[in-house]
Amino acid sequence: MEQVALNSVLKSSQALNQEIAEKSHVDVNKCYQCGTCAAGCPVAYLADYSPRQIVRMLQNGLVEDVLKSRMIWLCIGCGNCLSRCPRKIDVPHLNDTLRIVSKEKGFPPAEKSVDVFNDSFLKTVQYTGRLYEAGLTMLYNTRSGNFMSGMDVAPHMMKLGKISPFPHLIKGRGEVSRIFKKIQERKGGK
Amino acid sequence: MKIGYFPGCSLESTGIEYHLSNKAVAKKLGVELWEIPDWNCCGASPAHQSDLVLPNALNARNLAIAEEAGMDVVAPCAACYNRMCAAIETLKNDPEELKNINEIIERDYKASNKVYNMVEFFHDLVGLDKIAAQVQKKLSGLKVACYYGCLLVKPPELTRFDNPENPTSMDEIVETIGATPLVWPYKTECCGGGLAISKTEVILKLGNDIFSYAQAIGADCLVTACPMCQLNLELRQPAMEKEYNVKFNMPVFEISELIGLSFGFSPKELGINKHFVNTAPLLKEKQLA
Repeated sequence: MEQVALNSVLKSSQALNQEIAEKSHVDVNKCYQCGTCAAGCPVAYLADYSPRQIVRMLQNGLVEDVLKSRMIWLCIGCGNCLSRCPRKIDVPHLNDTLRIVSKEKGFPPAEKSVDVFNDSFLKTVQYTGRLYEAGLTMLYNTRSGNFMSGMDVAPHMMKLGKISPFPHLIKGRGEVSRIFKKIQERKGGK
Repeated sequence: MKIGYFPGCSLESTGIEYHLSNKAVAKKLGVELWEIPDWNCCGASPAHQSDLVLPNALNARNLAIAEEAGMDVVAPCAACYNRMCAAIETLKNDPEELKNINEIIERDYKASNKVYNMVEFFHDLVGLDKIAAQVQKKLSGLKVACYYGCLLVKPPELTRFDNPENPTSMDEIVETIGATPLVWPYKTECCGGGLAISKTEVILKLGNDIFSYAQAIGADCLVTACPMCQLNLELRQPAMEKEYNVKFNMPVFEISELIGLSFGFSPKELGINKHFVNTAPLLKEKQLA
């Protein structure tokens, strides 16, 4: 990482940092950098920054780097960090919030496949009321470009009758669609 | 006893053996599992990773339907369970957000009901003595590594599980039905289920870590209380074996399947014939089928 003048970065990122703190209800300044979160994180080995570094960067105002980082997309939400944190900092929820803010600010997701998976999953819930596995696979594969994803295991699943080619449409699916729509409207989206 | 039951999406498809065995075992224990009518998906990880309101709204609809019928809920899937716990916790302590959510779901949810996981259900609500009373065939000689996974136990403030690092309630159930629970350090390590499709390399590594240790201590199988862990660890086992040049061939059971076997149900009645890892050789070796 290149040299940065922290006093100016801290100032220029203040509004964004404030927004993240308000949305997440997580106070990163409580962290004293013990690193317990990083030691127990199952995905840190693959990420660009450890959870400890993410929190430190926020403390120092390097918010944009955090919003562009792969770590916030790789976090799997297992809760190891939060359970062991002596300051009870909710890092999984912080990462959720960072992902959401990152998208709102228009940063391209640093792990596109995770974003496409989430979006495809929720689309099937929005229209059927439940997860529609075959639909998720079709949506995910075409939108992510990983056309063969899941194809190695699909025959085994079909043979055991574990996935259906058809969706299960719940009666209240209109109600569920309305939940999605109302939340979108409240955020000022279409 | 009658309690609300939220199967969640995977119990009707990839986790069908969990569904079948829960129902068979509960019936034998004299518990009526009342399935929440017309339930919707809890949103799982994609919902809470994408929006701050959506996960609580999706869960509040299901919880409200149960509450209207005066029911607490048991949620067999650890992911559903975790999200329901989070929704109840938030909405119970934030009246303004509860009002907001009720406007969105067009219901009058009060966040007055509770949610239990399947281990809690068997261990605390039913009780080990009642389970012991139904055992017809002790699972003697079966060495089991209890794999609790992450979302069932963490964070402890939300899940109220017995111990977030070394839980023992599932081990006690396993002991009650005559099998031998092993001491091991991977009880609550994450299997990576949420990244199974979008980042498969992660689950191959995490799964290999888990199975390698289980194998080294002589486990015959893992037992879980989560359809995501069970699916992930069985379905992707051949890919783990290929990637790391190892051989596990280790079945992953749901706790209800093992209880069911000890109650004298046939493997087929419990859906044990639907595993991705063939369970027949182990059951034959241990004379359990």
